[in-house]
Amino acid sequence: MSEALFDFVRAHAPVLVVLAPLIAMALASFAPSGRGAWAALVASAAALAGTAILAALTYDGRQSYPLGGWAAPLGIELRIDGLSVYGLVLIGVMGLLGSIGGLGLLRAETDRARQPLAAAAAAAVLTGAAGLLVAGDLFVMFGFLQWIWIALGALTAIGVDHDRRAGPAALNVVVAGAVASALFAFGAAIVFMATGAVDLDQASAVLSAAEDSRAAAAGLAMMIAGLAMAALLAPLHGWAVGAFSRGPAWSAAALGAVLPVAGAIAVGRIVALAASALAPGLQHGVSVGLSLLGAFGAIAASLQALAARDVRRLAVYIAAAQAGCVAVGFAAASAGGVAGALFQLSNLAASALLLFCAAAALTRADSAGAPLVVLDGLGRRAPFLSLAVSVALLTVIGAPMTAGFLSRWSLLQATFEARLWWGAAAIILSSLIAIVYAGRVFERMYLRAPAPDMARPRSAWFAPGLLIAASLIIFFGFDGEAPLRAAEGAAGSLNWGGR
Amino acid sequence: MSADLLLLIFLLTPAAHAMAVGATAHVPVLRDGANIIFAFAYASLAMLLIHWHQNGAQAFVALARPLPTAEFSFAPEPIGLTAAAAFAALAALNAPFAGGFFRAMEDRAPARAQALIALSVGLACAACLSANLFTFLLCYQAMIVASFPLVAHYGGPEIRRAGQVYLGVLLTASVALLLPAMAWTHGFANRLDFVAGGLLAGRIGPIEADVLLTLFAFGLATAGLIPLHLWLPAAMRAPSPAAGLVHCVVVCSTGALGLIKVSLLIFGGAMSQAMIARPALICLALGGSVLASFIALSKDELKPRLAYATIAQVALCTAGAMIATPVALFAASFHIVAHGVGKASLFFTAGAVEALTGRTRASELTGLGRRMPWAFAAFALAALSVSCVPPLAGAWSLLWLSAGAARADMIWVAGLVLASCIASFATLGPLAGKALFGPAPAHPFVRPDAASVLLILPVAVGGALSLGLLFLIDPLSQFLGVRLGP
Repeated sequence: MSEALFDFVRAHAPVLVVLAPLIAMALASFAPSGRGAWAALVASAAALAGTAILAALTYDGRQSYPLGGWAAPLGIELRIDGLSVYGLVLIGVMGLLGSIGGLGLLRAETDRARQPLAAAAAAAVLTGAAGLLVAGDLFVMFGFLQWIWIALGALTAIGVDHDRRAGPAALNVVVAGAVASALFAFGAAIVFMATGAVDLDQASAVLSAAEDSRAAAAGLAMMIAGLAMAALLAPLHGWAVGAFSRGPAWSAAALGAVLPVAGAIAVGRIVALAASALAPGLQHGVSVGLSLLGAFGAIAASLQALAARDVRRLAVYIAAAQAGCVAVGFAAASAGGVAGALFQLSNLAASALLLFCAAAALTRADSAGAPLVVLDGLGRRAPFLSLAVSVALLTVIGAPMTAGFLSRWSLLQATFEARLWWGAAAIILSSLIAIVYAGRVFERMYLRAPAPDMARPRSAWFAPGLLIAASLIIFFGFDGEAPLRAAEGAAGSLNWGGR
Repeated sequence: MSADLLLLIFLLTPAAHAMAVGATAHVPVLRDGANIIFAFAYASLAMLLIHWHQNGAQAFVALARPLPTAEFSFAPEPIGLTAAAAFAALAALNAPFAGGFFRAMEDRAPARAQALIALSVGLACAACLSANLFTFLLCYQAMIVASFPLVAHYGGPEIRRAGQVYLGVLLTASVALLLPAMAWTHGFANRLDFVAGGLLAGRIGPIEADVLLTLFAFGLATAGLIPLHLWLPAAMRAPSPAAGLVHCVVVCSTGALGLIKVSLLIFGGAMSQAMIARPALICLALGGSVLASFIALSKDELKPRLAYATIAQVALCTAGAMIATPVALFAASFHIVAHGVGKASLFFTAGAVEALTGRTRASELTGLGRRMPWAFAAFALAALSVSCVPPLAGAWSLLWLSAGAARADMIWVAGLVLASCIASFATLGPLAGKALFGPAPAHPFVRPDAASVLLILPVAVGGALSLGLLFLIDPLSQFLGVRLGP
């Protein structure tokens, strides 16, 4: 029985990872209570994580899944390869841990009537993220990208129950989503014009044989720019500041680590297409452009983190700074560079989960957000929570014996090999700036006394996520071979040969 | 018991030491007792490691494998073992002194300071015994972080700023310079092991060698190379037992030892490729040494003066590492020991004076030697030793460093070394003379009842060691496998 179930899940994994949150979205919409709706979301995230882990453990090559029997180029085809499996495991596990934590805050922050709708919107974002990872052609990628933005806009708007500033933030998300989708759609259209194909494999094959691929290169660059917004790459991350610091705190905890992963993996896929199909000069141009964007993003977001006065904003800027480092790794456009970028991406996901969950637990009930003062004396008030924040910041710095050290190490190696010196400098500089803002947080948590009216952090529901993410960061800091091999396997599943 | 187990016990003892001190924090007798017992046990283990190593036992401990090509592992080699043993022995001497000092000063958190001193020394010793550059970096950075709270021990905005300078300079240098140097080295060799003959030998050209050597020299900022020396004067906000042993001796010497290891075991034969960086760094180290001595002369506060004197004197180790002949490397290694003993003794005296008389300025020491003859006799011996005055221990560093430079056809270095030692003597020699032979002050003691054996005995032993180290040269050269004769 169980073997048959495993075989079924394995055979249908590409569609199950999308269907699980999609069904949860439908169930949540009609759920009689917020808790029931949220349970559907958690169950779907668990199903997504379980399917992804099973697919990862039994992975033996790329798996295509033509929907309704219609194969590419005419039909919609979902695909699972090493890269998408890597991303699915990350978003599944992080989505599950984050959404479990969100349950504790849903009822406190959101109006009772809107709780099922909120859970449904969160499930919709998860659906879009999973779909973006398994999409086999540009049209399907565009569809899921749109899906993410619309659902996220709705989710952010629900935050007005707790903080009225969520309204403008939701508008920002919708506008940013429209820009990102337009950029991606124009880019995909240009690639279609140049190749006559929307299927990624076919487009790659046609481009490899084309004499002049300049138009396609412009299209690919536009698509990368559109996806970079979802990947939180500064300066295209402004929408996330509002969405995750003004929107519901539980949504940031549940999805804060999911979106950058889905966006970054999609960026990696397009970079791989450029690396395998474009002429060397154009490929180099895309690589340099992305590395400059990544380097700027890593430094700019780190500087913003330095100036942040709110824990949730701090978490967004830290995630954006790490996303910049990930982009630098992708820009190396080699198996080693992408492996480093993916390792860094897993580090981003774990630290973002810790920081967004901690920020949600510390968010005040009076709609004042989570100003830095809520960290004062946290070491004594909530030792476990402060330890989780410390682990997250240490891995962001790249401190030895955390996974962050090894991911930065891999990235530095890749940038040295690719001679992207400015990328290496940006990675180091972002680490140095991280020492400063992390030092301030440590000082607040461990050296300052808490204000007398400080409320108790609402961290009980977040405990499993915090414990697991922090443990993984430390464990992989001592033995980084497993995540490094997984990242190398994912990177190796793409074609980096060039033409 | 196997050598591997002995090494593991040695590595873990500081953690047990810190826990024991923390557990007995509220009972002064137990706390100081535990501190002294663990410190002496640690020093004994270090001596045992040396003894076993001499008898051919090769210890190796691997604790983790974070990267496929880099282990978190330890494998003692003679130079690292010598430095680790010196640190452990000085920590044993410092333990009773710390007990006496904190009691005399009625410190509010002596257990925290004692535990952090033990951890800092332990991490420095671990760095000395590291089997590869990766492990060295980990222990080195951990040592910096562990020694930071000692700088901020007394609290307050000014001291917090000093702590920020300390942490900022050292961590920035290690992340921005040492880490890329390590990653680049890995790029050339695909591993980071310390290898006899040099990991990079035959793998790099002149430009790479120049850039890499510069990155290592400045990345290991605890060696005090100007202009990255500012952390050390900032660290003098720490209480004397920490400022002396931890910051001026252990942290500083670990940077110098790192440079020696990089020169000998990472570059090896490739040092000759760094044709621009080598002489430039020697000039910077020794020129900076003279400059630091002049700055020291301008400082009236005793601890900052000793800090600048440390920058001046540790530069000899940097110069030895850059000259990179066997004799020069021996001189640098020996100077780590000789300077450590001398500088610890100077701080023992400075601490005892502060605890008993409340005096912290150099100008206030005049004639105090007539009231505290043993302490200032030790101070004078240590000052002459660290200034390389014959026949004391430091003079032999000067001699062998000059000989090593001559063998490397860099005889001009001997002139710079001599200038550095003369400037160094000007910093401390007259101070010792005035203290011993100036008119005695009338009523110098503000806490006469604080003069315990804990406070005074380490001062006397330190002074005696400055003299006795003279006899260590021959066995040490044999242990390090260096032939000092022609």
